[in-house]
Amino acid sequence: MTVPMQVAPAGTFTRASSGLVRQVGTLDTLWYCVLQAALPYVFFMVAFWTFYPGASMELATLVTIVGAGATGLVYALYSSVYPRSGGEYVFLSRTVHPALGYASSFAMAFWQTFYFGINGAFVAIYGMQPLFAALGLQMKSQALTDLGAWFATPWGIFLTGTAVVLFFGANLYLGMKSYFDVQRWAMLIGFVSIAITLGVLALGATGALSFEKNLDEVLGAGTYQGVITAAQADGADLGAGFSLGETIRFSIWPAWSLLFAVLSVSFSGEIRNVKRGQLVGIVGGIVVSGLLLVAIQYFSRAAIGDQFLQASAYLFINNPDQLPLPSVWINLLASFVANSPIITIAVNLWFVLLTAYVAAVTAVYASRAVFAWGIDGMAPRQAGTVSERYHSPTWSIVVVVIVALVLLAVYSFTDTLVILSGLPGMGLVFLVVSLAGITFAYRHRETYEGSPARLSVLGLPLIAVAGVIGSAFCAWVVWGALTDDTFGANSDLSRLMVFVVPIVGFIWFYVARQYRMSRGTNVDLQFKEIPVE
Amino acid sequence: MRLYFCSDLHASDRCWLKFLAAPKFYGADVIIIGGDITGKFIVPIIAQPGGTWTSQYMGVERRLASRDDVARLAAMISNAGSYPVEMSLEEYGSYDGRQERIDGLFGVQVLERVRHWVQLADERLANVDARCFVQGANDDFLEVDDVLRTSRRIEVPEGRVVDVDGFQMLSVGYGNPTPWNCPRDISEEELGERIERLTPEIVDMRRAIFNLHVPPWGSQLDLAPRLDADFNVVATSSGEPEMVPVGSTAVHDAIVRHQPLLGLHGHIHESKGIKRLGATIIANPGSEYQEGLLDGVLIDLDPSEGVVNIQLVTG
Repeated sequence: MTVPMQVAPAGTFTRASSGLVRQVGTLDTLWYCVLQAALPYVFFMVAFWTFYPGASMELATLVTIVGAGATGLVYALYSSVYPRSGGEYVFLSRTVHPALGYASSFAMAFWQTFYFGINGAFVAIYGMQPLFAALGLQMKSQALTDLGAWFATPWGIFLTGTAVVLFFGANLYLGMKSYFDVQRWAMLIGFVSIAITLGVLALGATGALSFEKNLDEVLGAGTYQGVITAAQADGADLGAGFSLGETIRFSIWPAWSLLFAVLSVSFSGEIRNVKRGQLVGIVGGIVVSGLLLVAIQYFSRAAIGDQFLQASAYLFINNPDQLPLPSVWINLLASFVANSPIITIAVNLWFVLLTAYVAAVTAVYASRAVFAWGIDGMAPRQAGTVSERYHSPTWSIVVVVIVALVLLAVYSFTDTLVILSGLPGMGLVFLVVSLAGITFAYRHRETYEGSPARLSVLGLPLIAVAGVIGSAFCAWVVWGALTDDTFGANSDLSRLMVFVVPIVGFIWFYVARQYRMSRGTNVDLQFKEIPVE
Repeated sequence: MRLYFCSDLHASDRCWLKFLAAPKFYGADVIIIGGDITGKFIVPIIAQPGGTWTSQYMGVERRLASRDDVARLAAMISNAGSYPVEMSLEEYGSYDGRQERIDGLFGVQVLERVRHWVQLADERLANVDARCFVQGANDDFLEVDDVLRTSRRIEVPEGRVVDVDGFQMLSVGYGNPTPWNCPRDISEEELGERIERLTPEIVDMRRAIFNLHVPPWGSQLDLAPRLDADFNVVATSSGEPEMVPVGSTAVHDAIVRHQPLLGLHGHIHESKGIKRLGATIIANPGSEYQEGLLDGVLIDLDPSEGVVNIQLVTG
């Protein structure tokens, strides 16, 4: 049997030899990237928009597509040079320093673990609570209303988060096949639910359905206008003209969703064609996800009305007693556009399922990182062991589950950690990779010249140009997330931890190194390249 | 004794030079390549009218204006494990759709590269006090072994049990069937027989090293993307490759049955690691030959203590 020629990169000849496979399809990669982007976080964007007077949600998202896309380009090009699993751990260890690679991986894994538990909490706060609150109001059921309210209590948050963490922990322990079986159905239902949501909002935008009429019907005549009037009376600025500065400030919110599409590196095999695969997948994934966010934002505004969105969110944060709704998350509001319990369930499903999926994704990332450290000797050897029965990394899953539950408890019962706590920490890692991308082509000229990443724009290496844009954007995201405390999305502890976590990573690296040295292992040899003479 | 093991260099000149430097760099007494030393790609460098050349390499169209440019690209291609071949546009066209003609060109290029490597090994290891073992594996033509055997410094352990400083090493580079029908693909039964034929020569399994190219099935050192009938990677519901075990059941059974001290494997580039299979420590160093990086395993052995230390290194 001969190998079909089409598996070879264009212009090269191949022979019968193992490993010659086509890349993962570009569409598959793009799909993966769309799933990495945390689309449900649009509930933050629509709700918190009011605190950026004059900001355009849609323009901010488009700006983010460019900035996150640039960082995505750096990741895609790096992964074409080093097509190995491990992402930034590999890039930075190879091209800058192993300690930086490890500290970045440590920080990313820590924050991903944090968001494993926190996304479990988000399922309660932004998924279950709006679902049952809407159903309770529409069906006039106090029991459902109370159930919805319970999901927003500390115990409701903690127990729901715990259930999500334990479910996915067990799911991962049973092996990736089990995980993908669950995920397949969740994704299918989730994306049908997104389509229904967009359809409902679009009908609301055209006037075929009326949010105002339905809200007044459920909560009493004049409720819609009453919310706007109450907010204005309380000092809300609902008529601000367009502000570019506020739009840029607002871009940290879509960034929180879109930047994570870059985590889909390391699929490349031996046959590498940078013009497709990762490049199209990552950048395309950011564009598709970004445009989906823009569509939801636009139709939300058109269906519900700018003033009501801003007024209700303002009251929710500043004067909740004046708000006749239990929350202002877009899934709750969108439920009143159609005002049908069946449609309410259909509209809310994707917020529950995809938020839970974001939790699962963070668990997969973090457990894989801990597993890799176990193999590399940067964590106890047990971390690199697998279950004989299910072939899953048992200890790394256990570690991630325990840490996630501890952080979930802190989040649920105290005010020390808040929703934005991890964004600057992870943004810092994206920033470091983007910065490394600027100098890569110059510091590692030979590797760059011989790689598929050798693409230029205006005579400059594309990875460097993307690195400059991505660095500027990520620097802004880190700074914005650190300083944006207008509505308590950040805290002193989280600011501190942005720097403490990577420092712990550095310390861990050198302590592990010393420990292994004392056991007779020369860790310096691990990444030291043999000189070619 | 310090042993350095690597595998799957796939014709990378840079990796070969690094391998030859391993005794000095790592202080290794024994250096071993577990097979797959030959390349899979020929990259034509096509002469164009007007004294220029073009080549499509790594998905990037490259235009070369001078002989120096051609030499630079050729070195880059060789370092990444492919074979650069200069040819005219007509000659390039003559290969179109003719796989047998391409295979003939591979035969010439592969053996030429191995001859060059043998020459380098004889020069560079001439005054080095280390034993050097290199075997072919499933991707290597059988003729490769004959060229290796012409070396004064390289020992070819294929199908033998050799004594190594108080230990015994059993070597089989053949592999279980792959979708590509490679030169040394054989059935699981035949692979098992080849291993079992050698095991009676092992005196003490506690001092035995099984140098078997294919990792044991289900060992986590053998995870590769699942393929469909057209060699497409099968993606999961989230779009990432579905990883499945593709190792050898014969190798698995042999290790479980005999429990040697150490199992050294390669074959699956993306599945590096050190694990245990019963009492046996098994290792796959992985491979990053296209980046010119030499992934290896460094093992300190003591006849009375067995494996004193083992670590993955990227050189």
